[in-house]
Amino acid sequence: MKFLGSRPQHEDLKLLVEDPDAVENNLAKFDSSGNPVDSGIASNTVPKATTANLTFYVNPSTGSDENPGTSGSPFKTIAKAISLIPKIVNHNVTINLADGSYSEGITLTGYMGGGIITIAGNAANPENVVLSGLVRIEHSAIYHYILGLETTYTGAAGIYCVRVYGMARFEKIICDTSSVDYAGFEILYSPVVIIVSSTISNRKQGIYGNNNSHIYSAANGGSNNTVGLQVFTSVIMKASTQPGGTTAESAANGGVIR
Amino acid sequence: MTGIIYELKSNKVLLVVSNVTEVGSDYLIGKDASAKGVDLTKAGIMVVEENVKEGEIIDPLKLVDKKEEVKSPLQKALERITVLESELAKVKTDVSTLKTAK
Repeated sequence: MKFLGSRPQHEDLKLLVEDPDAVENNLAKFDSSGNPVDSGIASNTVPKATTANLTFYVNPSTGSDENPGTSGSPFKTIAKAISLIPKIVNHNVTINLADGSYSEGITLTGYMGGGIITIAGNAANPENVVLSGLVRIEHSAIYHYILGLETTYTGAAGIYCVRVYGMARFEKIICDTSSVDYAGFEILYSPVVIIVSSTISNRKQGIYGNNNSHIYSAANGGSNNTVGLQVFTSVIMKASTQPGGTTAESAANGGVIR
Repeated sequence: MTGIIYELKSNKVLLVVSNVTEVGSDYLIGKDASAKGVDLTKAGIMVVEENVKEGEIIDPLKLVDKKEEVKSPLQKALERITVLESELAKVKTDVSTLKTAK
């Protein structure tokens, strides 16, 4: 075959199907620099890949989603800032959250690349940046860094990671609004999750891992959880202090806390 | 045998550990699961034959606690040593007190 040992090209594939035009119209295309270009399948004003570092600012009190998202003219919502992040992230993308109450959460989904998405609240006083929604990262394969904020969400876990194939680091996060049914952190199918210097109280589990997740938990606090750390078929590697609970640790189905 | 950890205030079952193989003052170890670091000011531990589920409200007085039946000979020996060491320490204290009084 012509393409053995190398990537098949458009022309190669066109020879193998009955409708060559369908292949032509649906294959992703790349420019001379290797960046993807619009295939024509969906039109979107947001570029598909970062070409430089991006920084956005959000202020729920003084911002507007009609603003450019600069420090002087911030967005009003986190969702607006996130909507401008390309799905291929090869640079540093930073969203700075001003102190205040946000009537929303954070949803990061479907990113890939070698870059970092940082969402930075107030590292010194995380209780000053309060989100009513959950922090949710899913189906994403980059480095995510969430710093200095509080979530009061009780409809599910406060912080929820599922199929994070890259890495997620949570630092100085507060999740202490009472929920007897849901965890503070719920981590599923996620191989590299780091939780440090955070406070989790009054939840069903402080940190809950399932489905082959690997979680490093260090210098975390909190109390009055039903279970401090709980894993099923996952690992929590712990150092220093941990969120407390009526039962400190519970492991099942090959889960390990060590 | 099923190990249960229940809240003292509400008698609600917080955790269930099936096929218990070892039980201690603040932990349960089962064939496929474990629970450690139970806060005994808030929760109780029982080992029962009944099929109890998480979230159920139990009456601990009506359940028969079979902790002793799942303790291994080694565990029983270690607990006996702990008791004997405690008693020995008490005797030493008493002897010391008598010597001082004399």
